[in-house]
Amino acid sequence: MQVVVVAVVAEKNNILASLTAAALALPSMVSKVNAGTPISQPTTNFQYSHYTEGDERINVDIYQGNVVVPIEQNAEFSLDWVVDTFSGATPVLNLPVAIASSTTGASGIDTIDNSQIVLDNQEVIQVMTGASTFERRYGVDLGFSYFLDDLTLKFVTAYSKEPDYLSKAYKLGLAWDFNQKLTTLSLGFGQVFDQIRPSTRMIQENKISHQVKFGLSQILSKQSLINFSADYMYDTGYLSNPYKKVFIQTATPVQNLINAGMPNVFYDQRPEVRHQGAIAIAYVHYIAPLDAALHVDYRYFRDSWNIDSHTFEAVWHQPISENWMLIPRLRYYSQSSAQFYKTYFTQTRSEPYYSSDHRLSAFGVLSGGLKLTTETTNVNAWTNKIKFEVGLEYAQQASKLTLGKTSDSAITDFNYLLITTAIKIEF
Amino acid sequence: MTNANAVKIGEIAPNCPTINQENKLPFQADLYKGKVVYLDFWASWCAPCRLSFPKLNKLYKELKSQGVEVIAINLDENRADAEKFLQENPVEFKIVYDDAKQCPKQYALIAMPSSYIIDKQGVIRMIHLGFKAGNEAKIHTDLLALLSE
Amino acid sequence: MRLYPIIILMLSIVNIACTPKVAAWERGILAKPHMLLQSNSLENSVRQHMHSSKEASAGGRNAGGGGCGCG
Repeated sequence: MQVVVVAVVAEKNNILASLTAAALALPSMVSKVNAGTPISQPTTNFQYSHYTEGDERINVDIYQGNVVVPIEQNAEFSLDWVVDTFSGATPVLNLPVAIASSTTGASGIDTIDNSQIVLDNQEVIQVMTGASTFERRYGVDLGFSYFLDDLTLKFVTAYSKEPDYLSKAYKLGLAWDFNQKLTTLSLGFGQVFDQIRPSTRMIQENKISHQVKFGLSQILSKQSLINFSADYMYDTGYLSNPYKKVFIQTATPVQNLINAGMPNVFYDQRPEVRHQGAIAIAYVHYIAPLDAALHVDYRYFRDSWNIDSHTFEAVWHQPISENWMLIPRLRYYSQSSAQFYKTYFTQTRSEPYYSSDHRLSAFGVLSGGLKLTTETTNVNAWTNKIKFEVGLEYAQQASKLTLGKTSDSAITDFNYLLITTAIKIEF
Repeated sequence: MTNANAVKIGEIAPNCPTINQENKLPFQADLYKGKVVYLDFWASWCAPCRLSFPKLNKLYKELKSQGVEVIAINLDENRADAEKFLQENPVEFKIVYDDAKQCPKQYALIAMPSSYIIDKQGVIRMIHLGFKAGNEAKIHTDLLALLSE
Repeated sequence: MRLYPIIILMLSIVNIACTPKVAAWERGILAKPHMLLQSNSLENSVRQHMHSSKEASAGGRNAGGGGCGCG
């Protein structure tokens, strides 16, 4: 019964505009689709979010909205848009302190003292992007859903553009309700085509991502349900981050690597193929005395770069009066590092892949959030419902929060805060 | 997973077996012989049911003088939820509460809403599962056809 | 080896699926908005967006289902 408005924001996954270009992040390309009924009246949403990281080192403002319009009885059309603005500086390179020489001040590391022998686990400094980066991204998604009795079909195309990154995607989704609508089977397929043209380098690269998704939901009782999902993703093309650099201690030139302006400093280089798989379980349970709902999720992820991760999340939905709801959440995430990741490299590897991008390091993230929503119904002759939301999430990302042991440096640890305010109108 | 005892088109509409709080049967088909009956099973938490109510009310107001009866059997667990909905969305047709939830079992209900159109002889002639905007036109046609028999 | 628990879980879901016990009229709680598997809010989408730009993992979101199956 519940109308599901598919809010697929052009998911290129880079809040951090230029710096995530060609980063690891793989978009969730397969649209969410729910078997059910189409909406009977148009709805619209608008949201402003502010993201801030590490003492205002990075700020991102995100404006997004969507409109869903029913077409006849059995179909609906959706339009989603997003504009985000990134400003700040991000890490580019880790250097052992012993060899970093500065002639122009703190962040102006401009040469390397090659007379020193570097060992593992030495103290490092982070070299940041020089001037503060400012960049804006525009994204649009168009979606069309068709509802048959027990079957929902959805098609979405997405387009996202920023100065150094162009992304085009399409997604197909299907959801089938059966077993008297106690069970829902869903399937999805999508492809993303990206073009990367970094502002600081004379290269133009391409990347293609594919994703297939399988989902099964089952109503277990009058007050609980479970969802199982499995994803497989396959990326090919330029999967490196064109802005990131690595330090490799070597006496001879490193094959296939591009020098990045200083001796023994090269551009990040990753394999041109990546396989990723994820399985997830979600469970929802109703707590009658409090009229509350508890959502518990677990996801296991593994890829061909030898990263695996565990994600646990618990969300409590607590109605506090007829029209108000308080939603606290807790999340823990932990990943192992890619096989070609090191904070810095004291020697060459047998394969020509190197990265010191902290997104590929071993770390854990602990985060907590709180959201408050309120809604008013039968507002006036034209408006059936208006809903307001405010939310915030605070996270601490640190190598010491990793499950198990890691020797990865804590230099890239940081905290971040996300604040959101949203309005939803049903006509 | 077909339902062996589901009520089918062409069968005599069964009476409901239990007596509710008001001390009456939620539905008793023989009371309505000679009328065309739209028997609806609904709950206030069911969005398509809510969508259908104003439309059913309009149909009822138009066709009651010609011999159409609309009986909506409520299946909310808390009757107050249904009463609140009806206060905000008043209807003129008959609402019956089935506290023991025996009537949907008798009809082996598989969807919400479900409606049964019963002719003047008490025979089920059409079954509608679910409700979408625009379905009222088809219901209107069905009712008129049975009225003219 | 890791796949075994998943297969067992899926088989048990299918098993449960073949013995329906929640009747169509008993899904009032499941129809509550806060019982839905997926939230359609933009806030959810921006948060997921943020996680996937900071972390090296993808996939695993809810695919659909739940609710009262009203139709």
